[in-house]
Amino acid sequence: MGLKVFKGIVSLWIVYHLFVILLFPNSSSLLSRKLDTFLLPYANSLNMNTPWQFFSPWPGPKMYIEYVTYSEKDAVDDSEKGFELLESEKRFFPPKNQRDPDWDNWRRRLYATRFISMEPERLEKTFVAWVCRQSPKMTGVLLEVFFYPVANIEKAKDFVKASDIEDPQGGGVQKFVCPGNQIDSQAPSPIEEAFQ
Amino acid sequence: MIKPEKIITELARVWDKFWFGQKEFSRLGLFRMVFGLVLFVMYAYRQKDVEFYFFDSGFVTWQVAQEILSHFYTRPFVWFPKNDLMILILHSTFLVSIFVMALGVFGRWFQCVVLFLHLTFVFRNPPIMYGADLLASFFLFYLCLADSTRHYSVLNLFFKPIDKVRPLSDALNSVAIRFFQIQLCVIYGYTGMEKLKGQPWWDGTALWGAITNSQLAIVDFTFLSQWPIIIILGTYFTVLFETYFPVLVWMPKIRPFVLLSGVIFHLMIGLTMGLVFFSAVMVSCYIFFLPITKRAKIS
Repeated sequence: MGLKVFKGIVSLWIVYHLFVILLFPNSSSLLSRKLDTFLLPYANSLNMNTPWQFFSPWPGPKMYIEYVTYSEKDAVDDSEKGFELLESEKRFFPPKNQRDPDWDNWRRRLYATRFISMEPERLEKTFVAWVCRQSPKMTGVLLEVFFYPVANIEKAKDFVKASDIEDPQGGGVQKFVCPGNQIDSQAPSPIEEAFQ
Repeated sequence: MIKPEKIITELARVWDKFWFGQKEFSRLGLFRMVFGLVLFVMYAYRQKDVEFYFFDSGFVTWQVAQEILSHFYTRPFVWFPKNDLMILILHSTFLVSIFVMALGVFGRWFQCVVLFLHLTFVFRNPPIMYGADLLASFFLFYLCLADSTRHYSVLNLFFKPIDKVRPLSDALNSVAIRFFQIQLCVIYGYTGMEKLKGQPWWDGTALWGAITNSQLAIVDFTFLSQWPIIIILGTYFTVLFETYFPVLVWMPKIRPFVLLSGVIFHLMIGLTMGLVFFSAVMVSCYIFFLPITKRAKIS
């Protein structure tokens, strides 16, 4: 193949690839939407369909999923079916200890937390399903996603520790039933009280 | 009046010179080695947790991994081994492949294999992927274009490197270098512009939110509330650096200062927020903006 022909073909691909890397970070644009059909399969196959938004539009706050698991109590009789907490302690995801399992894999868990917390469906399909797989005795999970925005720098002048300037805000307790366990979908109030 | 044919010829010449005119390919070898070693350490960490990330008994089952992404991110291929032992072997193979790539033993085809393995794991569990994984997808892809084994290869210890001109191969090498450069500019440019949408980056407090996030910060930086000037300068420096990098880095006289600023910037976020691998991968790409040696200029 002649060098000129080769360069011509490569040039066409260069233009195409430039469209991909320049358009997909701004995927909501009209041009991007119009060209989706031609560019999307290529971008997705190379994991190039991404916005570049590190710490944008502002740095996200610290966050944890706080959760407890519960199991259906063996019925004393058919009319008195109750619930019990499988664990008495709240647990956190990612773990509170930032070296669990090590600093890098802990960070992967942190990013996973951000990703799955964006939609309740993701939370249920990934996190809840994973928690439920830990113990077959479990019938459900109560959880709350907590964010810890920090105080404004001017208000924080008198504080010395990060925990002093944090203002935890919960997104509300959510009750999830472990897949395969058919129980009452209404959360039993004693358990919710225990979680609070 | 200038004839249209003349304009087209001139544009074609400029295009040809920009995309296919690079001659200094040792930068490709140096980048492959540095980038490969960074990836090797990064994925050695991930190797310790393969069970949690990629087994069906782990965090996300294969089935769910395919369901949680919206149609907009649908992957065209989703092959992944079902057997746990095979997954462990595949990840170990991936890790070894990265190391072999860093040594520069094989050419383009091998870098394509590494990219395929990388994407296989990325598509298997998207939630646990972070910025450095994303960068790796782009940079491994551009390495597929490049024959980077002529320089900084372990083979050069045993065999004398052949430094002959190979027009087609050299054309692709040149394109690869340009894409590395442009990609870096796109990343910084978009990140900078996205930051401009956020009020904290305008009012000079964004850095406060980042470094007082105890999940990210290496140490407790609350004491910096006593020196707000550091927060203000750091915030504006970040926005200005990222937004203007794509323009300033192409100006030869300013370039050394831009790159030095970048190294300091990434050193700071690596040291204060622990984004070590991300910073290392970004800085390794600066190699493509290093000055061209006299030998390359003559050739």
